[in-house]
Amino acid sequence: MSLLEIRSLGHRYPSSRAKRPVLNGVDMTIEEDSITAVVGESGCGKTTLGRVVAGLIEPTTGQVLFDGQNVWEMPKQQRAQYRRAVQVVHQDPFSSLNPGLRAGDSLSAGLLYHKLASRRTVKTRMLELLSSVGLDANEELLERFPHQLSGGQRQRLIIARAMSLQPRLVVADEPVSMLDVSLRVAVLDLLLAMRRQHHLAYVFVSHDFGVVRYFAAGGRILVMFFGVVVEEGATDDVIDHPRHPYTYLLREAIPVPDPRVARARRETPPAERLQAAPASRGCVFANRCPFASDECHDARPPAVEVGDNHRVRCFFPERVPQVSTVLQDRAAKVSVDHAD
Amino acid sequence: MSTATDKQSANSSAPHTAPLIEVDHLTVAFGEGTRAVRAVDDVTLTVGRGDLYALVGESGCGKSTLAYSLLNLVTPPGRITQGRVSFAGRDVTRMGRRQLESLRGAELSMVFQAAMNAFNPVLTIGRQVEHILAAHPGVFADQAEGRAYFEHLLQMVQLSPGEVWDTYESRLSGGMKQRVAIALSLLLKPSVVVLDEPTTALDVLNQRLVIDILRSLYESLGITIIFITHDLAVVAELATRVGVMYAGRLVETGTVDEVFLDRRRHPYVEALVSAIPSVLSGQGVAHAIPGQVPDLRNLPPGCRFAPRCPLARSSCSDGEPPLLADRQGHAVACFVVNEDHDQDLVVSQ
Amino acid sequence: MKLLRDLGRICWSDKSSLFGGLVLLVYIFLAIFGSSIARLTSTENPAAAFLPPGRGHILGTDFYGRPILPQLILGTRPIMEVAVLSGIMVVFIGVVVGLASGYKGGSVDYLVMRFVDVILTIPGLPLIIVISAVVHSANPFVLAGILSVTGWAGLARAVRSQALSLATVDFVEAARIQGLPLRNMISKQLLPNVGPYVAINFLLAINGAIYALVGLFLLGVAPVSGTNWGTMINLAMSQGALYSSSSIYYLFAPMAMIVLLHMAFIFFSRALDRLFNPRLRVA
Repeated sequence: MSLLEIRSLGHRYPSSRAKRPVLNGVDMTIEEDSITAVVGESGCGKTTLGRVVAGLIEPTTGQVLFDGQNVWEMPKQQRAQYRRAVQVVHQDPFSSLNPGLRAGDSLSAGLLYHKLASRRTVKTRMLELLSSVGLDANEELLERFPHQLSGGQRQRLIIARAMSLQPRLVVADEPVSMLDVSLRVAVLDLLLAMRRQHHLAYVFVSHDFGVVRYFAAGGRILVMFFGVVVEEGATDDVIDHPRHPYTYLLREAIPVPDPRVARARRETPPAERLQAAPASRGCVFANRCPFASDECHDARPPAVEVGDNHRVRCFFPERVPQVSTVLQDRAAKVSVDHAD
Repeated sequence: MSTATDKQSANSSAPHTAPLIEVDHLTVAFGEGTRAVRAVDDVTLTVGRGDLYALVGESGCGKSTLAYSLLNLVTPPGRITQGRVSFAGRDVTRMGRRQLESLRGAELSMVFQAAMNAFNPVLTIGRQVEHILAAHPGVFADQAEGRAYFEHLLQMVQLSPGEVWDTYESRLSGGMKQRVAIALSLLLKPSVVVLDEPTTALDVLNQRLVIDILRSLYESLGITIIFITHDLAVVAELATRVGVMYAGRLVETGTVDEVFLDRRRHPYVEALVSAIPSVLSGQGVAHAIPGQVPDLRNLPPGCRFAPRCPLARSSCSDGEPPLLADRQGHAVACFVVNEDHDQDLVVSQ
Repeated sequence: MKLLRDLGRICWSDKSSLFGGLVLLVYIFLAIFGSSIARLTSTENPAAAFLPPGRGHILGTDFYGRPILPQLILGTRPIMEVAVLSGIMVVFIGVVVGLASGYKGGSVDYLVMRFVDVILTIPGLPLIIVISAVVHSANPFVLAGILSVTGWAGLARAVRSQALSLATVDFVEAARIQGLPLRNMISKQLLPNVGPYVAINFLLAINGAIYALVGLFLLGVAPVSGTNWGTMINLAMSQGALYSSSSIYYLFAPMAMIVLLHMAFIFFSRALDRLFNPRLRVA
């Protein structure tokens, strides 16, 4: 049985008058001890999906099953267990910590309430948690207010707080996008180490493909566009061999820190203007798709298998070209240059 | 050097084009006396006419403060305590208020970080443009001509005038507002535009759009662009020349190829590039830089990057390394890297 | 407790709040121990009426020749007792109603706020006057209750707005995700963040209660038992203080007491403001 399963999820915000719901027929399965990345641009619904998984939003249609049971119909005791088993790491390390509480108070609240530590043992437990996330395990740190900690320290504290309840699933929503570049990989490595230690499952929401590739290596990716999962599969498959036009265009648009690759890319024709509104009938991507035909506007495409556990919602996945080999060649040349 | 042929490409300008902006031993400090913190510490750099100059660094490195001082916009408690900034030969740091006001926007314009928040919510975009035109009467013959030019600029940033002129800012998306802000910055036909983190708050496709737009504006209008960012991928895509800052000091300058591909590079730049997880396959693993950026109130002795540097020796803590340039003008401030290099190096400051 | 130690440090560094704090302490001291220090002379001495400050009577004498200062001191407790009680009631009701309503949201919030709106439209002082004229009680709790009848509404509204904006903030959500119960949410998450507003409103409520109470005594609506600042002003006015300059001390002395207390509140609230803002509280 999977850890968490989402079936035909649909959601529309109560005050929303948009033509399309923010989530539209999403299916997702999360196994124990796995990594699932949800990628897309702003407005695609990935954050909302993360919040539904975390039990913060009750979806307007569809089901959320945890250990096989419907989360929104659970008896109180099981709901409490679910609440503890699913934790969240937010994007903004400053707003996720109560500015009026000292670090120790923020960290101990959950431990004490769920009786994971008593008043006498909580301080030792907190120091253990601090060192497990790479912070100095000293009492002085626990006395500080959030504004006295650096961005990296705050994010580590938040991770410690999430891990303190020994969860089985952690939803990480853009956990490193507000951190300095030189710190990002360290925090990602920390999250990965936590997974090895506690056999966690992650739902990792991000718009940064590079970060997703690093974090979800060996895991799965779901690519979302305006509430629809347009492509899903193993991380390497989806990123190296995208079979949905949208994933392909995203892949081609990502800037790369190599000026030679950038110049080569400039010599090829520029990406399509992608400003059209999402279609309200048929395939959601039809208005922007360079490969679309009439059928694409009439009916919603079904999910088709294009590879081993690799699915896309597209009538014509064969029209998607290979990702530009110029980039691959240049990349190979870069690693060769670096080797000498 | 292995990158010699790549340097011949059209847009990499050697550092010998006519200098337009010269920063000379600039120091900007916050606070008083012995407790003053130097956000920009003795920085000397030159931006040539026609450069697409990227000023790179992480939080606290001083890049935004440096950019603000180019227009003499540093406000108390910050102040310029040493050095000067020249624009086309005129000293910006010594100009009177009226001179500065006519300079800003018209000759040297700036798009601030999160420009999408800089719009007046109770006026339509069109009204705000009219106000700007009215404040600088010499640029266009009349309002109509100014409006026509603005609409031309809107088309260059891939927006249609109809969806912008009579609209309030709340109706526009973040990406659209960013592009309107770029168009506004070019309205008075400045020769230099400074952009603070133009792509940072945007997602992949909007980022690509802004990068492409800035490139095409640069090529068709012949303006000089200075942009500040922490995103090295955007730098590689957009810049012709690069300046890297760390903890208030300038640690490397050069063309984009030199800074990314030369064998002689500052260890911070090397470390920063390998700290970025890449979307391309076969790039290998990413490595975080240990430690964190030093507190400006509590700087380490000698080289500021030494505590985190994989090449550091004990002598690195003896003094701050000077910025030394090779014959092509590629300058690096590192004892170890400069010593190991056999080329003649001259002091770049 | 860390709170008190930080408060002491803040007061010490900011002289005006130090002044305010000290003056408040004096008033509190007088309220508690006043009856041991001062004693009312019961003998009336008409010949010594309305004397200016002099030996044996530092602030002068009243109509009956009794010194004013002891009356002032003794008058502190009744006023402050009721005012502080009223302040506590106003703040307690206002905060609980505001936080619960704002955090719950939805129809509960809607109904409660409509009720609060009705209360807000009722003019406070006239209502207080009417009620106390009808309910003739000298019981300090009852008096405090009467004074608080409309005062809590404004605070409830303001606290509710704070709670509304806090309910969606990340760290409150993080507490919810941790499964923390409602009482923790209110006391640990929401309350510290509305703390500064509440503390200052507490002082304002006490202050307002003092003015209202003095007003009641002044108008003769509240039952008079013993001496307090309000009755002093009442007597002074009924004895023609407004028309002759010789009774000026009798009139001004209680007024000065009130105003001085008000100033002390204002100065002290600066310290409270700094105390509740963590960025200003440390370093």
